[in-house]
Amino acid sequence: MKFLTAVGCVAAFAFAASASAQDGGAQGAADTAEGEQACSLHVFPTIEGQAQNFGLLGPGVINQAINSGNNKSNAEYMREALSPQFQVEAFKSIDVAQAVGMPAGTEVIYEVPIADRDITTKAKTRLTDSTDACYAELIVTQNLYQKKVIYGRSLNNRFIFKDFRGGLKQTKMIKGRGGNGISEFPPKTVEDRPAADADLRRAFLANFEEYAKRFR
Amino acid sequence: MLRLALGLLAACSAQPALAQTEHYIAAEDRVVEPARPIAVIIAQDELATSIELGRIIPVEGGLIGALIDKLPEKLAQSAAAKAYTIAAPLRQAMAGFDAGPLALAATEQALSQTAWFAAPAPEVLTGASMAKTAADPDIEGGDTTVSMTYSMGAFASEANDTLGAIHWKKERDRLESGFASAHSDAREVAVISWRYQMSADFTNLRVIADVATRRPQDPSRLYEQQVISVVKLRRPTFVAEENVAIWAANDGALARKALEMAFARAGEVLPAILALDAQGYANATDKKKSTPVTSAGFHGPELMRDAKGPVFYAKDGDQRLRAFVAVQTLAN
Repeated sequence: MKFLTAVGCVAAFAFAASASAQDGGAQGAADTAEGEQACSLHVFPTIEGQAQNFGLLGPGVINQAINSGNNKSNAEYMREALSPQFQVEAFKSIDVAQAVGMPAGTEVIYEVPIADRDITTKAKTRLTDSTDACYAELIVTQNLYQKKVIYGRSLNNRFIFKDFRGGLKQTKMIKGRGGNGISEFPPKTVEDRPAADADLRRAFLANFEEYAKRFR
Repeated sequence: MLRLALGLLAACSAQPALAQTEHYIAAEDRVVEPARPIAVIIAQDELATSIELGRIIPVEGGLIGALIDKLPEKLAQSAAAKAYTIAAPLRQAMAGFDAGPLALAATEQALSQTAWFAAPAPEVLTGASMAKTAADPDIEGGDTTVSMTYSMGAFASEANDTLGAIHWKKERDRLESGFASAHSDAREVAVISWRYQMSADFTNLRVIADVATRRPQDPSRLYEQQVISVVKLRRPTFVAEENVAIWAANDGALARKALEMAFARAGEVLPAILALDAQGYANATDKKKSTPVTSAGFHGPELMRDAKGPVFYAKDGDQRLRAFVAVQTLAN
């Protein structure tokens, strides 16, 4: 059973990267406290799965009429293929805590997605009851598949990191995005689905990698 | 185009002098003579499911594009059918469950501390919205949704208003209309419409109480307020089917327990909400004056907190949410 409180793996090597690239407000306190207390990173996947097809006619009413069926099926498939479960499994395959500059030994806790974007993209307070001094949140806020005639197919994701280290109750949001091309999605047959899923996963992690570069 | 025309027609035919709806009852307006008859309305006949679509790509082409596309409605109905299928084991485990006694007990609990609000002995009115949904010839696959809101959009139903939700609204309106007609000599009537449903991800169960007062001859609200009483699993999973299995085990033991907890909690917190006057309501809903709480997907300023959990005010313009939310946790 995959309980949400499952603890993600963290790197064996110590990673004492400072969060100097962050514009969050926890920096000073975090540097002094990290080695002495347990830290936690709370990860909120998204329920979103948006899909958009641009035809030869570009955006517009006619394109919408032609592609609305594709948009529906792609959006539904996206929601399944990049479900919260999928995002969590993807994050578990990397050292997500290290990627956002959290210290070695950080406990990664996967939370139930919050659907309301007014909360995930605007609330500067903590989204859990935790009062831990060394605490941070990583929120996935967008899963967008696009197909364009010239640029082809791509997956775009948006992320937010909130660093409350130092016992902060409010902090700044470090927002960013990543976008990468995909080639196997959407699958043409049921047999093609594993390849499509792997393609999405690769793109999702590549998008996160693009976003997370700022923390190094 | 038909929807546009109907929307314009509805707008033009709206009654010109609707009473303003308040979200609190001022002290001088609380007691009416004779005391308000009160209805406990349960328009659904079994535990509902719910859907959460998240954002949908903005429709291109503006209003005309939206009328052509109907993508949100298609996605909503498809999601409702999927939720219906996933919830099958829970539906079987809860067969024959009667929410009426729980809703009545919660209402009586609230009235015991707010005797001014309504006359004793509430009338329990039950409907069968889901049976009517199942008989709808347009239904493809099952649908046990009820609406998160029964507001209607400017030109059509809201995206989350599936066929199940539309039938639920009709059933609720029918019951309320009958109640109001039966008490046409009253100065005001009170109505509490109860819903009980699973969250879209099946990690929690929600009982929703829509509290309202109105004049018998006028369906517009004098007062309305909503309480969402949530009971969440302490250890849910990301897999909806697994959560359903947790709720459904042992003849739905956890679901039944959660429903008892949720209805009872709503009855406990309703008096505190009914007690709010203009200043109290302003303070309770001002996010700058209270500690913000985030729980069960809702966020807002805290009204109260005890050993059972927090009660806070949540507002979300996207979903027309404006409710007091009580959250409890159930060990599993």
